[in-house]
Amino acid sequence: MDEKQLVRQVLSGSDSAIRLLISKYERLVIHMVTRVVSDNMDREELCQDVFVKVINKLDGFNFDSKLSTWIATIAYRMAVNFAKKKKLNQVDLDEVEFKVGEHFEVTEEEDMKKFIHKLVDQLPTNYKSVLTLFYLDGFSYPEIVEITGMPEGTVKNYIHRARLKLKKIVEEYARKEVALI
Amino acid sequence: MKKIEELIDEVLKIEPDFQLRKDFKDRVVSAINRQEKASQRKLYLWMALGTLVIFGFGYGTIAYFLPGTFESLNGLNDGVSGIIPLAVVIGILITLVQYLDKRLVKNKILMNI
Repeated sequence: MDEKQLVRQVLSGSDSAIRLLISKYERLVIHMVTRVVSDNMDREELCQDVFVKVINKLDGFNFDSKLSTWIATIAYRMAVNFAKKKKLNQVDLDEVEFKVGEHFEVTEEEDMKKFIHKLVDQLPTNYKSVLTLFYLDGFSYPEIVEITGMPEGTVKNYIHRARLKLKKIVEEYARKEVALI
Repeated sequence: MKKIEELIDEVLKIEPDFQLRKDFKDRVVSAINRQEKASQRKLYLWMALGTLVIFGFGYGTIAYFLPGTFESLNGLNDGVSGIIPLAVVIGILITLVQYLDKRLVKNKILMNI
């Protein structure tokens, strides 16, 4: 079933079409929500609110963009509003004090990945959102611009700076580990 | 071991370890149905209120321009025969027009897709 058929069926009130729409886009919504919200109950509730809003606003969707971009826009805005309301990690990248723990073994590849994952979790919300849209959902720069409302330069800058920061911390930590050995 | 940049890219592509509950879709569907029912109740309430206002306006206009028509309750039947059935018919027509309008607007949206 293509996007237009799916939208038409959801608008005509079909419950099975709503279920299909959720199945198709739940990963996308989960990606946006889980990067911003850490509590599982809040995640579940926010995902539900996103889909209810998507379905309620669907008659206003005019196919100017892909349905996934439009849904991601709603999910992004709701996740950001949630983060603002709960005052979650809104600082700039340079102000973040990354907590890496006392002894984190980074000699094996899997350990290194876990270590990086821990760092990614501590990135500011807007950086995490942009990285998720780019890496996990595979959106292009213009699509991320449309979703987040940020200028393209800011989007590219966030991705570049976040990767650089992660690399710097990992390198520093790996050097310390080697020195200890 | 792979380069740090490669590992960072790999980590950023890892799916989050979170699953929605099995009844998630059911809960979304029932939330939407609940909202739909609530908005329908609100719509009918507004339509009833609108009918009442129109009826009141008609009653007021007649009472103003044709004084004596509603001097007593009997006047409703005696003075202008059939005014109550007429008001009811107008009310039903308005309700019908509003209902059709809602239906047609939805159909028009669906046809434009």
